[in-house]
Amino acid sequence: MNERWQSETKWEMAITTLSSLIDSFEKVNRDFEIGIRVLGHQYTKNLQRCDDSKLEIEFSKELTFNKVNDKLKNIKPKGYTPLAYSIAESEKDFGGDIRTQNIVILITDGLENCNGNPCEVAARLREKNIFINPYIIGLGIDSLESQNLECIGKYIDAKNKEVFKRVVETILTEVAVKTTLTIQFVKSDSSVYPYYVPFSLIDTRSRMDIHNLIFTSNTRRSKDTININPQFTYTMLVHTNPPFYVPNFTISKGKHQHYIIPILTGEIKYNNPYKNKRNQYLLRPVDWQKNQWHTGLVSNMRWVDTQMIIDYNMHPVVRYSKVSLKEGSVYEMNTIARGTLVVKHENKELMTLYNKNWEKILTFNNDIVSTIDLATGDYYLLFKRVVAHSENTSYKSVKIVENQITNVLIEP
Amino acid sequence: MNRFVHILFFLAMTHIYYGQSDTCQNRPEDRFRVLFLLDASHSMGQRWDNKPLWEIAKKTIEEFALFLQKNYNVEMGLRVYGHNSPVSANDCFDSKLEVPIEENAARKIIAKLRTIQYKGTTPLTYSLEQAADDLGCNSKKNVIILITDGYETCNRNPCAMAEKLLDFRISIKPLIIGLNIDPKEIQHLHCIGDFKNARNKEDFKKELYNSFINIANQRSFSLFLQNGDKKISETNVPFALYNARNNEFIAAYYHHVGAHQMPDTITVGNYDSVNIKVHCVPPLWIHNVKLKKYVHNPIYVDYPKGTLDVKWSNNSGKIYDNPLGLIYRDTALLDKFYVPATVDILEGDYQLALNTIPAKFYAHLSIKKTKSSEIILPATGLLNITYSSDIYGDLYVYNEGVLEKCMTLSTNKNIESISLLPGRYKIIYRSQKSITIHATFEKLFEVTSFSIVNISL
Repeated sequence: MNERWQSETKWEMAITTLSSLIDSFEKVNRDFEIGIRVLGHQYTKNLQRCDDSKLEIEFSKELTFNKVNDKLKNIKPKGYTPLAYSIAESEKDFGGDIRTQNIVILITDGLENCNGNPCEVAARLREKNIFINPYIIGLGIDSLESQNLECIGKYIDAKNKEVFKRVVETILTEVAVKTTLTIQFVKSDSSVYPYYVPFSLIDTRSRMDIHNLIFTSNTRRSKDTININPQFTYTMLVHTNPPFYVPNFTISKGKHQHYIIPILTGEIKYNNPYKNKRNQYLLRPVDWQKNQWHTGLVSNMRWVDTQMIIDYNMHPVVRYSKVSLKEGSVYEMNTIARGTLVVKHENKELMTLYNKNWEKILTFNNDIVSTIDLATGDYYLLFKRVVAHSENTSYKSVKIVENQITNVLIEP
Repeated sequence: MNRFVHILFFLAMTHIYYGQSDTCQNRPEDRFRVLFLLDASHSMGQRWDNKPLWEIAKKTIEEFALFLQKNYNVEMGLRVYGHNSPVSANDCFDSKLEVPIEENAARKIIAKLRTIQYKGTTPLTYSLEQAADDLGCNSKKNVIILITDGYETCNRNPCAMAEKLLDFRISIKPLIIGLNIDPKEIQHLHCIGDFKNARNKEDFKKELYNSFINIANQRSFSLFLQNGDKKISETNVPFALYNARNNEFIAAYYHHVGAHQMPDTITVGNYDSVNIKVHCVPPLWIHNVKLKKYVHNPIYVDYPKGTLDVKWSNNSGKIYDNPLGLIYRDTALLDKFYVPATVDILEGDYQLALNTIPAKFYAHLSIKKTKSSEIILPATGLLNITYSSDIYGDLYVYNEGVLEKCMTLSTNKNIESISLLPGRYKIIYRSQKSITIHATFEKLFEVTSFSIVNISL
């Protein structure tokens, strides 16, 4: 780096050029933070330090010519070129937020001379989504040698100051172009979908959820432009009931895209005046083979024009069969009146609950006291001690009255 | 030197213990063995319509014995008590088998009765004890008919003795016809068997005949639920009986296999064919089972049962919730249970849904007979959410690295506790008041067994 180009060393050229380009770039691009890591500047060559690499300028949105130049001008190039080590260190520099787009611009006049393998390291960090494609600007590296750098990323050779300046400018312009997305969720008549819609932009390769957002009908259009980290290839997963992937969804890097995504749902309503338990439904299309199913409290169900079965998880299970929703329609499940049954028994009894048609409702476990909510009506409780003879099987009639507790004592 | 050969025989005699005696082999299966136990104590002198009870009893039994001999395949015998010693002697062993149990005994019984006089005490328990020997062998057709006007007067407990009899000699509870029994004593006689109290001569006759006809018409069976090994029956399975003629419910039982690996005998009324519904998963119907009169009916059923065992991997900590499991076959819901549970299921393919959070679904649950299928769930942890304002929000779990919605968070609560299976979770939410999509926030957290995670939104 001490080699001279015209009147100044490559180093002096590089820091003055970078300082002024960063200065003008930061003034207009407020979303960008820039940091500078320098390598081979702390120890002389004879010390053979292969960890000679340091983030000299921390990431900042407000770098000016002076801030950069003052810091770098006192640095003198002197040591080794630990490229692999420095690339690896960049992982720490960037931090872990996957929604930020990380860009590496490597400026060098030489190759790795610390036995590291920068290609491998770059590939590994790419794999971890730290960055995608570093830019490598070679300062007078001969074309044979430069081939060794091309595996790291996009290699551009800068033969002199003018070319160097143009190359950096081009790169900064390229990265400054934002990749943005607006999304509208609509009903089939193109009006705004009136409910909230959570969705995720998922990296196709790693399956990681990079952006998670919730759309609501009161979202202001002007503000719902989403900046996208373009280093990923995305699929879009919409977390409706059930969820779906938006077909043919692609993000073009450096462009704005607008997606209008139709969501057709109907509503399943259940006014539950009793305990608010979760996962109370098991809901699925009649075509069981697809193995699609759904649990939970459902308001907006995307299975429209599909015949469904809803099993409501109480005792006994209430089945709503042949439920078919139209878009915007409401299916109201009738409320089932219930009471509570408390069974106490002192022996280890076998105990089974039947409805009045002697259809099994539930097998009790060994708990001495069992409390269950039951639909109102008449039941039989069949019981026998484990060791007792068949003919000592007994049963009791049990009547469940709405909102009342029915106590049954099984005496020894 | 002489060489000896030592031979040692080991003789192992295996005795199968069926109580104290043999079963009544070599007898026709439909033959009843009736033992009359007749009270000839002093109190038999009390009068109905100016006739001593004793005379009425004698006359009625004479007619009845002839009736039995004419209409049923029957052996009969007569034991009388209280007829040899006076009351003053308080002879608690005054009980004698006057006619041993045999075929065509009616005439002998009639002749013998004519020679007996009532006079003494009521050694009821002792007589029952002796009756066991009188019967001699264990038969499903042994019937004891006790005719008495009073309760035990020898300070023994006839109830305990009756139970012993039921264990070893008889499978039909004794028939007891009381003659004008004091209401205070009635409750003691109920424990001995099927008790009827007669108030007059007509009553007595009616109860005697009806009691016997009822049990004669009863049909008995044992249900062998054979799973794999043909010799062994499953036990403690609930089942219900229906009249096959109109499918009306008759009774429900727990099946039971006793000490000798034999299923219990079950007697039902006069039903010539029944439907049996075994309450396994799915229910197993056995239609049109013929029950022959007067003989015991063993019913053999192929019962290819496996078990599904759903349990927690670790029981040492607090389980916050017992999730429900639902067993399906295609669209039919076959059974449900609370975890942990062991469910009897017939061989076949099923689907299982567990309403844990996240819910788990097993599309191919294959059950093989005699085998146990285990599903072991890792114990849950607890998530406590505190809401500071109304939000739109959902709870997601990472399923093979991809976000999957588990549930929508409540909007009408300040605090909520949810038990979750171990895993990596994310809550994605935004305030209901916010107007920008950029007000979406997320919380990533890990749940392990028995851990408690507190999150405030």
